[in-house]
Amino acid sequence: MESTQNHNLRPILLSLLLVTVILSGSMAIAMLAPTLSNTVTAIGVVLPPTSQEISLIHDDAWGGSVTFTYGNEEHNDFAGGDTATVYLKSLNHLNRPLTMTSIIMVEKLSGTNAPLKPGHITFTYNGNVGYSGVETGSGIQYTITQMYGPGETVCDIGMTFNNAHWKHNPDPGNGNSNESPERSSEFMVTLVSTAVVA
Amino acid sequence: MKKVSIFGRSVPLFAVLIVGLLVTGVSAAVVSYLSNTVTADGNVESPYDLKIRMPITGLEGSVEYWDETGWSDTVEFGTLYGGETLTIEYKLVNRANVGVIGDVQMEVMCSNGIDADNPDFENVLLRCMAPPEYVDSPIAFRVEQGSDDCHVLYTTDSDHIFNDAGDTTYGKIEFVVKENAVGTYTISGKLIPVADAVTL
Repeated sequence: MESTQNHNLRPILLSLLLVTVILSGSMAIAMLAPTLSNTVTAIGVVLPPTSQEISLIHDDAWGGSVTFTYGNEEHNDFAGGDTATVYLKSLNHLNRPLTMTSIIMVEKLSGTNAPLKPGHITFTYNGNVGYSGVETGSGIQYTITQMYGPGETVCDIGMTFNNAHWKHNPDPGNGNSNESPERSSEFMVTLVSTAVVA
Repeated sequence: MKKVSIFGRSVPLFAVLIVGLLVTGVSAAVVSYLSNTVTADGNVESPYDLKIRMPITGLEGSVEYWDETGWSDTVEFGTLYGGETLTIEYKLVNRANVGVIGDVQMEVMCSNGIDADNPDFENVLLRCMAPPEYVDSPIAFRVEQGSDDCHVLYTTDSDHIFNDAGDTTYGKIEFVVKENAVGTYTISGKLIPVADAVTL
């Protein structure tokens, strides 16, 4: 009987203990909080340190892509071996050189249905050769990795249309078998991406 | 009737409650005879006041730090480019009569996410610049992952000694931003003193 009555007191004592713990915790938090300083906040935007644009003109009409037509169906002056030039402007906002990787896509928009292959054009950057390109299905993708100094730098991209594929038609209309397989085509050159090399 | 056991004797619970109320009443009555009651009200405020501002151009050296222009709880640092260094000046006032020993803790949030394993800052340094007796080696912040992928916690790590009692110090925090860091950044900072701060 005595044991049962002690048992009845247990919930009351436990409740009192719980209330005491909660009150003690609240007081501890209330005492601790003022010891922290106020919170300060800074907000702003961080932009990429570089930007690039391309154009058919050396110092104007900069943008993300350009289109041009190579050859002329009507006048039959399509000549393999010619070089089209596109300019790439690189802007480095920092006061130290940065190495950037740029991905350039060259696509053929019109002409024959034959897809553009890496061997159809020779790609140069700032006069440097050795860019083999990767066939992507819609065109050829070239990767350029180059160090740029502070400020603005303009370099040229050269695309030489190889004789083996783009043939000159010396005598149109006479059944000459030397007729070019592609008299004229429209091309688009796009700056796909720019990234700083870490 | 419910009973409880007190000193081995079985006593009705009702009787225990009545006795408890009587004791309480008597205690309250006795207190008024002991003396009058005095009351003190007041607020306990943070002893440390932290303010920040963007660096002021046109002033040089410690003169810059004594200038009281522009201190605030919030600053907008506008736009900068990855690879640059963001500098924010701070002013720390210790209103208490004990010194400040603790750490500065900053939470950095980026709109594009941020990862403690590959943080967006090359390093973060706190430099005390004034008064001259407080100028010391820069304090480096270490980095921890925050509560999610958008938060990283930067904290000094050494229970650093900041201001002596009543002193005000000035300095700057430099964030060297990585070249590939891009996004809108929110940096929140506060001073967390150690619990057993002592007079310096």
